[in-house]
Amino acid sequence: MKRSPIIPLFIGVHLLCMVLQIYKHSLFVQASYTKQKYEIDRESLVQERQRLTQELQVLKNRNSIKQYAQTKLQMDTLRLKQIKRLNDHEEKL
Amino acid sequence: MKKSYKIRIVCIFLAFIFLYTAIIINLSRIQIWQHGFFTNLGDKQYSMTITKNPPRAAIYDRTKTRFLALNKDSISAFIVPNNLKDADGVKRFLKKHFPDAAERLAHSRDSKFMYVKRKLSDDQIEFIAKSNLPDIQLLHEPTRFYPLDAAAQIIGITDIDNHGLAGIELQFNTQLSGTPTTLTLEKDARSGRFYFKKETTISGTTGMPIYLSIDSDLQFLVQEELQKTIEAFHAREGSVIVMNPLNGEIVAMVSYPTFDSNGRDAIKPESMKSKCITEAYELGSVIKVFAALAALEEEVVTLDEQIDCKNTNTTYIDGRKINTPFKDGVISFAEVIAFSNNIGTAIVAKRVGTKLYDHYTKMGFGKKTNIEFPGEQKGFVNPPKKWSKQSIISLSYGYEITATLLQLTCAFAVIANNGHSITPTLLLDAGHKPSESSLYSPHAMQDIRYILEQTTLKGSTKRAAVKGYTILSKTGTANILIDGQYRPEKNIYTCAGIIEKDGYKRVVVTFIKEASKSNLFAAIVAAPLFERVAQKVLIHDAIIT
Repeated sequence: MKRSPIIPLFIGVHLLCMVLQIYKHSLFVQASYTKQKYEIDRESLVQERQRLTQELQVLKNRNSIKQYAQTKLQMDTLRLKQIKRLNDHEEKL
Repeated sequence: MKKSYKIRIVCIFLAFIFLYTAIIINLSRIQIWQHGFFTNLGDKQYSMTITKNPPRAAIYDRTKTRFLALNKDSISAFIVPNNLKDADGVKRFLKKHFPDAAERLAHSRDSKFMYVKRKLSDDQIEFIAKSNLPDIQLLHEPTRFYPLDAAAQIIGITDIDNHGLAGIELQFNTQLSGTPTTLTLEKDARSGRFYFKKETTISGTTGMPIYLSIDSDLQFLVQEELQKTIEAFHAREGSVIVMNPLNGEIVAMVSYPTFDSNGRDAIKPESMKSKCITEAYELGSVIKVFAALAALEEEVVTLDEQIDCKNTNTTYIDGRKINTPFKDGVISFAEVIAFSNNIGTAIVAKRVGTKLYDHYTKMGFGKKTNIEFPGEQKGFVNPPKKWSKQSIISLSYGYEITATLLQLTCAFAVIANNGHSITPTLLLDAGHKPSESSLYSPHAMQDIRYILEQTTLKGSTKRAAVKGYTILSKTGTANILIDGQYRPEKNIYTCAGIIEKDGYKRVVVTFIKEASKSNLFAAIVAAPLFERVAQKVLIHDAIIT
């Protein structure tokens, strides 16, 4: 009795489809995991940026800058009478 | 076939039938009758719903680059009381370092979660780490950081859950915090860290940053000057406002003493108030400007009309005693205001009568300015129906009328804008413009500007003058009412004015409360502060002659 090739072919195609489907799903899961790892990395980088911004703001404290300017750089407070607008002639000179 | 085989086959057949029936019934129970219950159970194992709050948006100054409030991470410590591995160790540690938490633990041993302390200091984090107690776990929580102490009262603070509690943080809480997003995750059952699928159930919105009209550099510089004055006069407190009258933007608004908004444990509620907006005072002679403006508008006096100020410090008008600090004889009305003579001012105010009330309210006294700030006071102007014989006299030189410093600033902005009022704002580019119609006639505006200029050049506010610039200013010294009595030894000192140079205009109000020395005047306390603030503003804005 001659066996028909259609049945093994049918089963084979279905098995292949199942394998491909599983492969596709595993690829999706892998990509999803990678994406989530990047998301976690991004979140920690955002947190780090936030921490550094805050540290920068602490360093920009005007009181300490003023104290440094006055004590280390011997700078003094500017008065209005110490400033003069130069006219064109004076600027050229 | 033997009979016994037949019986066996039937028995086996029936047994299978029974088994299959049982399976089918069970499957029906699971998949049809209790479908909802088991779906829910499965979902609970693999799905989770999380709510994510967007980060609170930052607050910037007018440069749009300098932060006034930003986020930072804080560390909180928590325990799971019903699942402690070393309960005795935890109790001992808490009793020693966090007695408050130890007490709470004693009352909630079966609870599933308990904060030991939120927003830990660096020292506290260190000794928790050193304790080696795995039961005490750390958690990152968002909190706020405020880089500029000088703006503390404007910006306000947030509570422990990062909700606005005062100032701009409270006023714009919804805009800054945004709305949370709800997500449904199909999670990875093994690690619990990853998910297979993410669905947004409720889409939230991100917080929107706020750009204030405040200039952080100027705010700092003005606060420094204010602090110097308060220290020099051993005063109780003080405030300064700098406003651009052309668009109503407040470029600096300082009150001192201030508070450290980053060290919330030591905050005194009193110091959190932005007193320029939330406190109303009887401001004294600075109000004479508006009594004079009313008289000029009503045409009951002219600039050069000679007024007899009786050449005395004390006199009686309609049987009512009236004091003035300096004696003046017969002087022009412009000089009455310039020398701040109470007798001359009261004589003219009597001619205005009850209309004085209408003029004061027209200038914005007794009404909120509608600035975007919580807790604004509207002040009080005694209405004519409640007037006594004294009222018109008192109102003419700044009693029976209370106003916030912001209202005074806005009233001076009307003069700076030649009669057009402006709504103040703390927001950058709010788009405010002076009112289309003028509140006062051009001649009244011209006259009052002349009076204020003369007051700075020859009168009581000479110390407020800045060479090379037009300064229109007036001072006021007022006794403080305590327990129903005006106390001459306790005063408030105000100097309000306008700085002008070509098209450039700024309104500045300086205010000092309760200097330790008595017998002082605003001309000595508030006017020099005005001059120094004016200098800082002009240098900062590069308005050089």
